Amino acid sequence: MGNQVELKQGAAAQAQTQAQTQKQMQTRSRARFNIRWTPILFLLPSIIVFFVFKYYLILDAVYISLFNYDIVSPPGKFVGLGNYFEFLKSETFWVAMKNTFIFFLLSVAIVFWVPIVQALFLSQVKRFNGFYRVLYQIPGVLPVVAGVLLWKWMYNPDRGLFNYLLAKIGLGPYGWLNDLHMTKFAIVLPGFFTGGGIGVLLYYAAIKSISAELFEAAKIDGCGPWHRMKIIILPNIKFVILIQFVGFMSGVLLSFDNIFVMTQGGPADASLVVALMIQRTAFVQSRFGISAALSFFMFIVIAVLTVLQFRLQREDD
Amino acid sequence: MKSHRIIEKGERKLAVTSYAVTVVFIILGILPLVWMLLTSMMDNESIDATTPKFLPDIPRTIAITLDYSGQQDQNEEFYRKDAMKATWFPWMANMRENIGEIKVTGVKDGHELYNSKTTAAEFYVGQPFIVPTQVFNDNVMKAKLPRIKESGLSKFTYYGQGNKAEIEKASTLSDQPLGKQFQAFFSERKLLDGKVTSLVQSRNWLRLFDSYRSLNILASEAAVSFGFYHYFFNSLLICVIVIAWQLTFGAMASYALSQLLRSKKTKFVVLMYFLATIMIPGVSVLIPQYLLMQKLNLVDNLWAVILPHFAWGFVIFLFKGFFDQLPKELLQAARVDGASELRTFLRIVIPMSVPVFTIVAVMTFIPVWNDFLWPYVVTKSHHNWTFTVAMNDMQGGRNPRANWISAGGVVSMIPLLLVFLGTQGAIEKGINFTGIKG
Amino acid sequence: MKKHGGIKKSASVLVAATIVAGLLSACGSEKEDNAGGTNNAASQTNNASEGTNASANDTTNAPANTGDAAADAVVEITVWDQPSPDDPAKSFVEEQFAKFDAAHPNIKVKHVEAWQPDVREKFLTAVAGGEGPDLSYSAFPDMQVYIPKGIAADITDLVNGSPDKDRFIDGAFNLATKDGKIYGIPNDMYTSGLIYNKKLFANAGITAPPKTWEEFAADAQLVQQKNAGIVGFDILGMDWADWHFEYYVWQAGGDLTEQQPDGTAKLTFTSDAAVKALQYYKDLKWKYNVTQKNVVQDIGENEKDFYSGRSAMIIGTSDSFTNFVGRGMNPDDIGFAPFPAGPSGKAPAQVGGSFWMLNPKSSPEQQKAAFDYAMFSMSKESQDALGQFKVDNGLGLRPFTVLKDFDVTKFIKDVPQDYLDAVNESAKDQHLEYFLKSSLSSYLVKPIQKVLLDKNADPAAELQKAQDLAQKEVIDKYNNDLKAAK
Repeated sequence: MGNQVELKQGAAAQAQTQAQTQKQMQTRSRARFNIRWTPILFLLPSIIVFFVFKYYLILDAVYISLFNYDIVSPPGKFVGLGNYFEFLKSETFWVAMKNTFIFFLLSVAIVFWVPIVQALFLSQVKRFNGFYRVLYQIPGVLPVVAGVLLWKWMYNPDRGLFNYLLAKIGLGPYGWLNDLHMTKFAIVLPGFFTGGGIGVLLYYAAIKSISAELFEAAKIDGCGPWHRMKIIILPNIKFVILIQFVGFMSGVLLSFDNIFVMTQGGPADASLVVALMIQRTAFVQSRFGISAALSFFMFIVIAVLTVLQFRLQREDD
Repeated sequence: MKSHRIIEKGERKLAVTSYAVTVVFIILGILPLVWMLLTSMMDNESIDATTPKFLPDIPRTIAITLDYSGQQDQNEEFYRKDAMKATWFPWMANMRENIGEIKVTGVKDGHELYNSKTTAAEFYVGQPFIVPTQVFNDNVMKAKLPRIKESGLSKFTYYGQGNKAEIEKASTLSDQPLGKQFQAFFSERKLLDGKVTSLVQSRNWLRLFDSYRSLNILASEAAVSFGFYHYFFNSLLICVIVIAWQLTFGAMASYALSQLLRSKKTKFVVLMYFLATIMIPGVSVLIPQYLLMQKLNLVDNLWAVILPHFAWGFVIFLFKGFFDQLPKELLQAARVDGASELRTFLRIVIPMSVPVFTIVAVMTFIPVWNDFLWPYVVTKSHHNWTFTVAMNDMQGGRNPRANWISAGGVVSMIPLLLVFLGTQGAIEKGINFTGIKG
Repeated sequence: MKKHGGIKKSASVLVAATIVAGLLSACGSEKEDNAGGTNNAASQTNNASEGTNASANDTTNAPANTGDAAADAVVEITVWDQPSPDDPAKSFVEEQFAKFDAAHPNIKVKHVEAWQPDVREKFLTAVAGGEGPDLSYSAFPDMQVYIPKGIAADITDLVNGSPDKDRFIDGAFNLATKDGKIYGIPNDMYTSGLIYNKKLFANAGITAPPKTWEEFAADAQLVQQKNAGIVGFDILGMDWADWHFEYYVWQAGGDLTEQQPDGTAKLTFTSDAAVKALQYYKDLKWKYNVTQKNVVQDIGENEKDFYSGRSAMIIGTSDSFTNFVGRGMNPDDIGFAPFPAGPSGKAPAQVGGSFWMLNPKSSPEQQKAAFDYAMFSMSKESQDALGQFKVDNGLGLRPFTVLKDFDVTKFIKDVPQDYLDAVNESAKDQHLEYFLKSSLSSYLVKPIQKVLLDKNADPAAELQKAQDLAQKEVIDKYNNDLKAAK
């Protein structure tokens, strides 16, 4: 669908208000086809809830971000972009920003590829395939909060399961969350164990839908099974990978629950990420203006990254 | 088919590797869960032991016989109090031992007078308010009796004087360490009116599951009618309503987006209007969202938890991908026949879309079920809590117990597991049709 | 943790007196400078309060004159004080609710649960939504954040106009007073100290708790050696790490911040005392090896280690006794001692507590009602009833009271005498938490965690880094705002 020009226009149009969007739709459809109200009727409920529960809220956050927000008698003193400058100048913010991106890279390195590999090999498994697929779903079903607590116990360097087990094979002891260099790794690692969950199914289905002729043709060309994985399967599931990656990226860049339960941003800010800073400035320091400014900033960062990604993908094609 | 295949070089190796990789990943994923399951059945001392223990120790049962022979007749309350003293006080003093239940039998002149039974589930729930300190005396128990009764923390059956057939006189005094500790406690404190004639120690594997029962008692204590299941019901209700919305209005919007809008540009703008919202951090709209709910007068109402879930861009994305692939000819034919768009949607599109509806339902279920921070902030009364809020309360509360947390984790997986098992087939079918495939 | 410890008569009086002395001295220069001002303010506000009283009378008289229709004009207030379902004192508290309702037919109180963990998000969101409770209580450090943010109502007039004011021990309001204005009603107080496991100490042949830093380290090592599998001291390295660390700075003879005579703040993270204290932390962890390995565990886990006998020493408060006994620890094993003295030869204890706080957004009638409600719960009658209830139910009382006319001694039974003596001893030298703690906390936690986790971290350098950052991001702004306001 579409091309780059369309993308650009889209980004600009995104800023347009809902009313305009509707008007546009209306006039166009009236001009070309004889349907006017059906699409509007179909779209309206969703457009309204998205406006109320997303756009209105983020606009409200932007509004708050322009004030030295006083929660008792809002909105308080107008400071313009002052809040944005204040956090941009703060060293803590840049630490959080750096950590956020390190987390992102670590997650890509440790977690993102797992469901792909799981699905790749699963697609080669003939016996009990359905059974394995069910088993793959189980770990992902555990609520984040419960899962993180479980890992916290296992990491405990005084009496945790991990050091105990690793000692049996002559490794360790490790500090895990008590080791400044390991904290981030220890927070990301559970994702590796949990695996892909529903992601495995997505990749698996994509692999299965690749036509058999392609494989046969490759086989005839003398392509070995390992090579086929590389030259046929991977390119054919690229789009699924991209889509998953976009979701994965915003998920990781905004991740909050797991870090909050595991370390609350410590030790020594080693796991302080922007989402946590948003929470901390608002609910610990009661600086709601800065907190709102931070969240709007993050929204923009992720939006830009997402658009960039789609664009790169398109250039690639 | 097999006969036509030539075994290639590397094929066997690939097959072996595939099985190995799959099995290893599955083991890695399941192991932590197995540990959670095991810890939910362990006592807290074992969970925290310096050398980790892997198998739950079967909790011990203490059966005490109190003999009132030769004493003046007393009323039911008197004996109830004595039984409770013999149960709650020594248990508190030996709280770190893995005790599963304490049974007390009252005997007078060879007849059974009463019996009482208290299990670990009740003891650990009741401990913070029944025996919060180690002040053990008659007055304290007198003050606590109504509370024990009201909450049904100890089962007490009174038979009355000589109403039961004569029983054999038991006089075993356990010489195991725990039994000894109990005997020492009774003889030092001199709290009981009856004479300890027998004290037997045994094990009961049923008590391994007491942390699961504790969850329920705990919630009933919080004045919620159906115990822990009430929170489940709330979470479930929220999920069902949200899914219903998505399957109706989410589907309609996506259908319009996919089939009814003709201008590519409009399409893109509307699509982006929905998708861009995925990038809004949840924490950041907490305050605006709360203010909004207040204007809508929905604070401390389940609808406050439900409504924001209606706006989820990912659902639109999933649906649109599916609807994009609908055969245009079919829809065109329906239109030519003069069917309205709504009719086309209902009669032609929906029947074809069962798999994608299943996927959307499942993928909506997971985040809504796991949602924590917002329900925590916006619900105030217990009866509006969701299950995640209750879990958080349990682990951060006044009386956090590791095995309860594990039990909560295990229980919390069940609904999602059922959903998955029930829909696995449909999901796999559906994935082939969504936009994810590209 | 509303479980209470008790104290004998002489002890409690002495403690009350020393706490107040501590408070006064801790408030230091600021209070002396303001003393005159405060008096003036007080007299002014007395007049003002007469004014509000008069108007309050007007409003109460008015309905009586106009007839019955308005006579049942009911004031509704929301109080965040509903006890948790497993609160041992739940039945008592509910009885008190009913008593208040009966005595004040024109005040309708809505009680809301406020005992859940992480209640702060909930509270602030409610405040932001204009739904903050008319009355709630919060701990002293939180009050420090809420007062400048305008979340706590100025109740100077209400307090000064109340006959109950003089029932509070002298200086009780100081922690909730800023620039001569009162923002909170004292609810309870505690003092901190070193808690040790007597049994583990006895196993190591140690008879008395350590008195100096050197003894402390030596004892911790010895206890660890003689008791397999336990740690000598559970150190606090999680997000509140600065809370316990400040004690060590005091023991080394300094503090973390200084309030200048003009009200501005000066950081003293890099003072000799702070560096020595952090070096000592580092030694405890790396040189003497007496702390738990998991230094990032939170205070709840530290307490758990202690009451399950896995650690021999922990920093606690006067209330810890009942808490630990409630978790199944043998009362005879729990010892309390003043902190070991540092290089300065001193070991001040920290005093903290919680306060009732009113909502500035409430109407004057609601504020009055909320104030009456708080005073009702602080009345001698309520407190005596509570004391009796605790005795009847085998619960301990808090060793300290903020009231002059409430005699804790009548209700004390079972806290060992030596525990009380030690609490009393430690309460002789009191210290308030460091100035601007709420804003600086996250900056200080960083160097503390750094030295506890990194063997090669240099305490002085880490503190310098933290100080530079805090200076830039907090103090400069604070001082500028202060000057701008003048």
